[in-house]
Amino acid sequence: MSDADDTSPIQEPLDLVRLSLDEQVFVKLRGDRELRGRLHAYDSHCNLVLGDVEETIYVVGDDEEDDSVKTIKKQSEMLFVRGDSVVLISPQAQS
Amino acid sequence: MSFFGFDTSLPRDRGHPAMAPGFSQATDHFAGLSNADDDDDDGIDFEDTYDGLGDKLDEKDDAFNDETFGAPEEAIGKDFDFHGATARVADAMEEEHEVFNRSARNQSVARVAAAPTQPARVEPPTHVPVLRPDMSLWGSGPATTPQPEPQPDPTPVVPPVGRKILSLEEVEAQILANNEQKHQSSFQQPPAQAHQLPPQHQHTPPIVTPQLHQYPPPQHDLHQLQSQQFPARIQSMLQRNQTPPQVQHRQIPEQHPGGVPLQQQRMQPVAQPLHPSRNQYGMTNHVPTPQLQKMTEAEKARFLEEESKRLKRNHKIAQLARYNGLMTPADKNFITRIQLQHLVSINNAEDNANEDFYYIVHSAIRARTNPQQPLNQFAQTYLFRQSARGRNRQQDNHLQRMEQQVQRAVAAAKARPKASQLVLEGSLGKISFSNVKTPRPMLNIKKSDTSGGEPIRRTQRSTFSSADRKSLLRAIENVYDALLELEVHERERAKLPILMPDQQPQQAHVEWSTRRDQLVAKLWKETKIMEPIDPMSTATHPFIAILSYSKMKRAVQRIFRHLDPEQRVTVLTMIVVHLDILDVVKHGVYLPDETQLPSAVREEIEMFAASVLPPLLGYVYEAPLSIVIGLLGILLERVDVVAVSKTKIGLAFLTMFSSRAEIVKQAGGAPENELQQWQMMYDRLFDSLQGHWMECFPPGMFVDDVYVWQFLASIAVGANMPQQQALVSAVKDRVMENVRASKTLPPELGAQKSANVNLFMRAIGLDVELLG
Repeated sequence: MSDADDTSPIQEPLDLVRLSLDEQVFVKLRGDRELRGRLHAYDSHCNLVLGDVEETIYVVGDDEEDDSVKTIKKQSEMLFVRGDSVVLISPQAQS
Repeated sequence: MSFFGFDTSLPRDRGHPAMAPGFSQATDHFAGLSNADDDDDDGIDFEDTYDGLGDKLDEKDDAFNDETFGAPEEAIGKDFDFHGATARVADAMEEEHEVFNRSARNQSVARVAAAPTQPARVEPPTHVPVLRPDMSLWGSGPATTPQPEPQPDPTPVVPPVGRKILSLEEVEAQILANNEQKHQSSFQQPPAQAHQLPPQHQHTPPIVTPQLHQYPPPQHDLHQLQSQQFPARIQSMLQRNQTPPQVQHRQIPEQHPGGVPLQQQRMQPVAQPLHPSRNQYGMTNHVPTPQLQKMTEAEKARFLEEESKRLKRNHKIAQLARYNGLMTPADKNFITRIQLQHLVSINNAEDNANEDFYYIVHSAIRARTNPQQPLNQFAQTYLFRQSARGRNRQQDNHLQRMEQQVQRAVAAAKARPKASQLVLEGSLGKISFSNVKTPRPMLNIKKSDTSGGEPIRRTQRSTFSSADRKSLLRAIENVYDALLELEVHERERAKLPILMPDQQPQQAHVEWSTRRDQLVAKLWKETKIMEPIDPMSTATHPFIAILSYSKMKRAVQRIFRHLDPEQRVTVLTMIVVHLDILDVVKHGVYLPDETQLPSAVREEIEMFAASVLPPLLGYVYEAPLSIVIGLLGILLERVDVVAVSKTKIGLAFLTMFSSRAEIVKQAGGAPENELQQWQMMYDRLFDSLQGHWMECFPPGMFVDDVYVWQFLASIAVGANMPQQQALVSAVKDRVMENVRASKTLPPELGAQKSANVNLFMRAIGLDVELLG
């Protein structure tokens, strides 16, 4: 099926997000955070509700010498993400 | 009467200004007043003659003051009540003032004249001086007495009211209550008594005096004392004498002056007119009293009742009036606007079901927790919740009323042009309206109406052959769009006028069902189920492809509800034909080294079993045998049955068919040729699975294999002797394993396991118990 499918043409960017409803998505957030989870809901502000989320936070060491990047991972059953922190939403094909 | 009553309080009044300016103030003042009394001729008498009888009275008896004192004295008491209530109502008081000013003098003269004559002990001279201050109370005289003060200043309605009452009777009562106990302990001390008792006596006259006349023997001493001491009492006695003697008086004597209960006095405004009031408020009494004396008891009661009613009403109004003018007209308008807006949104609630959809459905579901509601009504609740709304309406009568009131306003608001923009002459840009319902649109993206025409047709229907993930997802979204649209339309049905069975469908109904058919057709098309099956193609059929997404699986149940039987069997057929490539079957096969399926696959299988199977099962269990035969035939024809039988979902389908056929067979009535066909089908199935029975079981000993036993049971029921033997010998090991395992497992799990096995054993006429 091509984009020429007329029954529901892509009218706005969020229509693409709609396709990822109930699917695994990758969400990049401000503040060096990333989320991977199932997209339950979204709205026009990119507020998201995600389920079974794995959150990854990238932290740079505070010391001058130690500038290595550490990652912190958190697991959440359900997460509400405020839209203003969302940088990108990407569908994640199940691997 | 008022006059006399007033007189009694005079001594206090005189003393009062010296002690304190406000009559309504601390009780101490009255204590002090008592001293003043003592200075008076009366007070001195009392001191000398008082034998403390009053203190000896039993306080416990006071408990019945309400009954004894209040009830019997109704007629007289009403005066007091009337009085107290008037005091509360400023306006009324003003009126009374006027009247009093005019009439008081006459009365007072009359009273004074009458008073001396009747009781032998009354001392006329004392009354006259006493009376005069009273006059001043009402009129222009200096408001030195406690009573007058509150009256001249009517505006602070509430606070003064409480004070007034306190000042006279309550204060006395309080003093009595508080002090009498002390007195009893320190009974012998004259000074203390002098201070504290006098107020009682001043107060008591109305109560006590009757005793004089009616009960001379028992309390004689007391009477004498009191009568001598207090002209006020005597005056009240006079009043008594003038009015017909009342039975109630009998009970009064038992109450010591101190017995006037606080509660009773607080109740004054409500109903109970008390004697004492006369003493305190000459003014209130002055109006009713002359009349009262001429009236009969009944008339009096009625009159007083009316008076008290009127006063109560006035009081109420006065209280409400406190809040007058709190809101400016602008405030009121604001409130009204909010209410109107609310009503509008209520009115529109049905129209805007989409906005509130999830809340509405959620509440419908919660409402369904009511166990009485059968499950099949759920669909009704879900789709036609408006009817439930109607019920709620009954409770909202007031709302309804207001709705009617503002109906026109609402209509006007609705009729307002829908335009969300306004171009004013001379303005540089457009002005956008925004309100709660439609926030000002920040982006105005023009949506093309896609439901109307179909401008661009896909040139190739087979684009699905190269279906990628995105297009599948979009197809699912299209299905949901169509489904939601259809469901909304179904809910619209509730708004149609109800048709009588014999009635011709109206225009609205025709339109509705036409529209519904259109929507069903659209939904049907969106499911892609009618895409031609190309046996040569390696690509998955679009319907099966989108069915591999869990959100599509979830939708199946909802879609099924709108399909006619023919469409349902089409869905079923489509699934059966592609059973081996169904994701839940394809991925549901255990790999050689696997003891557990990947969690994602397991989730999908669960979802399929929970959402797709039930409607299919529901259909098959009512399907005629011919359809079952046909479906199984297709299955055997097109699908690798052995592979399918290794999966839970695959077995579920096989179980579905064989058990349905078995039920039809045993119910009888099926045509002979169909039964024969079924037997052939069954044999084919049996043969193709022969040698693979054990492969049906999932690997591992402690897994949930109940579905396998169910399948084996459904097969075994239809099997003939040799088939049964083959079956039993094939799964014998597994049976024995399970029986053994059930004994080592905890009782619950063990029982479950043997029950599973028993499903099969019973089908062939055996039981696990027989295996020992």
